[in-house]
Amino acid sequence: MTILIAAAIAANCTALPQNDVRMAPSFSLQAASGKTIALSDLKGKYVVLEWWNNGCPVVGKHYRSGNIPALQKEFKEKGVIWLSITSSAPGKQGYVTAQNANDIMARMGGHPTDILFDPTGATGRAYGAKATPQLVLISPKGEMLYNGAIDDNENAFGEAILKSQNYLRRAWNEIQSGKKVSIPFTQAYGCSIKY
Amino acid sequence: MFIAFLAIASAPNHCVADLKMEPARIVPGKPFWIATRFRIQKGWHIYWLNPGDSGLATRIDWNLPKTFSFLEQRWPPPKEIASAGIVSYGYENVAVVLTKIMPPKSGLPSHPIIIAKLNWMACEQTCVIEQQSVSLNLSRGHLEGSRSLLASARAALPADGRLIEPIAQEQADHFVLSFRLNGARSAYFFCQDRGVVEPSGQQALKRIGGRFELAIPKARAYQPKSGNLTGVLSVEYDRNIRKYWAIHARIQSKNR
Repeated sequence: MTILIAAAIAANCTALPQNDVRMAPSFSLQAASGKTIALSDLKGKYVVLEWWNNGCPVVGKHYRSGNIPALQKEFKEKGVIWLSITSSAPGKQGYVTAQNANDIMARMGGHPTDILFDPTGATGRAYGAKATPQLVLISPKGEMLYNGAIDDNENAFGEAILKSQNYLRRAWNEIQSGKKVSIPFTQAYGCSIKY
Repeated sequence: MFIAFLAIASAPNHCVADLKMEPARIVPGKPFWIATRFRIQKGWHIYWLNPGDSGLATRIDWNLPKTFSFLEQRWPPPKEIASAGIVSYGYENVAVVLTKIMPPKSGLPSHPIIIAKLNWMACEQTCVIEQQSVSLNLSRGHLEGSRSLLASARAALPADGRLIEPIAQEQADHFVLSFRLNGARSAYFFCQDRGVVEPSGQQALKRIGGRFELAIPKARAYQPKSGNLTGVLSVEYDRNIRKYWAIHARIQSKNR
């Protein structure tokens, strides 16, 4: 009987529209600044999570072209907390220590609010992060508003960025004009996350 | 000294491409095939049209003589490249893409040259974006090994999926692809479009009478829209025999 009820509830849940509110998974991670940053500490602020791998050429394209650094600046000026996060496991490509992460980020021209380390990959997996770059926008209430690709142009070269639609900016603009985010999920493109 | 400089200046790509053609000579107004062969370094892979959970699609941009036209391009079946729960679609070792081109009915240039500009992302643990431009002088006639390469590439292409009568149906959180086959042990559907199915999702095969039903989890990025389920169905039969079918089925919605 219990099983039947559970099955009925599950069937109902799967029938819900895909755009329903989803809470962003909680995390508490070490940051390059030396702090421990928990999502719960950031309530009241918009947060962007940017899955980052300093050796990924697709991430490189968005840094060398100035695209991600400009987004970081633009969103920080709006009062958004921008957290670059690396989920490479120790020994895997893209793994960085707190000592060298800031230097590498500076060399790449990036200026996030902070860099988070997710060496167990638990946070990356909780967000369904599969590729770098992957961007997540979280509301001041902790709702996951957007999760996916940086833009709609799965191209290897920086020139393509000018012709691209930036999904993070689109989600932000929709929220600011009182709308629902029309496309809350897209599929990220880039290098696999080295869990 | 000069050679040493060259070696330093251009690190070798992890994939090398070349072109072959068939038939040996082009006939005005008769289509011919070009094989683009990607030879991939051991341990590395490149990506299919839909790279799956991660990666970038391999691209071929043709530069044909003005009077020639592109007809179609056929890609070999991809394989699942899985690592730590991330499932990408791509190629290891070698991949041969076939392109059908139509020459003009008259006024064939004396030395027609076709050029393919290729780019791909090659990954091992590290990924690199690589480019290569390859050309073929179509007036040169038969090129060594072309016929056997094109024959084996053609044999490796997915078979016409209409033969197995595919029907695609959309459910709340998955698609059901049903098809008619006598026997199958397992199956996996490679969707050609991104953001439609979840590459790392478990696809469950079930026999119903003379047909099979494959339940394919939807991608969380899936945007409901009318359309087709297009891609390659990989079927494993007894004795480890595998066959690929090219699927193009209109998605029927239960709610519509």
